Amino acid sequence: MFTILALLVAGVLCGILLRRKGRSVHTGKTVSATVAILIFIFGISIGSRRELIDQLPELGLPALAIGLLGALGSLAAASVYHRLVLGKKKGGRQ
Amino acid sequence: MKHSLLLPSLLLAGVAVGLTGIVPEAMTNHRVTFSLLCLLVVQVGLGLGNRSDFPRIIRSLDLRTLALPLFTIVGTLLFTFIGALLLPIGSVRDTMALGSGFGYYSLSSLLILDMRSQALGLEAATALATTALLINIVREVTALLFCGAIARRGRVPAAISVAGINSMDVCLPMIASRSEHQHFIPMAMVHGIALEISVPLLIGLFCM
Repeated sequence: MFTILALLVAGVLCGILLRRKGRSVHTGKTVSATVAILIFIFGISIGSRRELIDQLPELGLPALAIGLLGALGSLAAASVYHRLVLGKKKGGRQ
Repeated sequence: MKHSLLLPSLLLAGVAVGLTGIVPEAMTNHRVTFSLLCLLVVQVGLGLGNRSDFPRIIRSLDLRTLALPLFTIVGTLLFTFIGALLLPIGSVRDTMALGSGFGYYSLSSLLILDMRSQALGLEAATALATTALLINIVREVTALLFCGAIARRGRVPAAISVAGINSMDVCLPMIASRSEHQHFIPMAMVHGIALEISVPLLIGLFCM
């Protein structure tokens, strides 16, 4: 985990430094390529486990529930944000 | 990056290849995937720091803007926690990690596969990662379906929040489709970037 985070921070810092030197790095295509390779390999790891393929219907429903719950949770939080953060600001101006 | 038909087809192609059993174990070896994952994370960071609008985004940071991703994270995790208690997916911590992708299905599932394979074994970790993939695809599809309508009702921060990580790319045009909502663009960008950084942080935390 720390390796991943350190690499992320190092990447951001290198990106900032390069930008300040007037260099732009186009990572879009290479990121897509890396993701593509990783997703393909991930697919292979899923496919080579037949038990997992058989499990998919069972995984689907909880996944749908958790995905929707996450979206609902952020909606609920956003309405609190609306009231607490934005509402306060409006009240202060009036 | 997260969006095209290419990725789903590649995933399915990989599954098909995996089913044939012709792939040597070495290709799905942890060292190979971990190196690629590191390469990916460096590039994500590099691209972030190198954005020409990075200084403008940093300048637009204020407490109000920074609070929104926090609310998104807390709301998502709170509801995921409730789901984790009710649904038979795995341990509560694992389910929390699965819910911490905010729609970033590629990175979150790969991180979970990487971080859980040592403790759970490759088999169980792959099942978890597959669930993470499904969960985050659901989140992204929900975002695509609803954030435009929510924004049109004037609830732009809610639209940004529900879009999750996608508030900075695929959902951005829908969030700021009205001209009077254009000033929310930096907020949507900051939100997406903050979540992008929080994905490895949160998943790492729950997988520790």
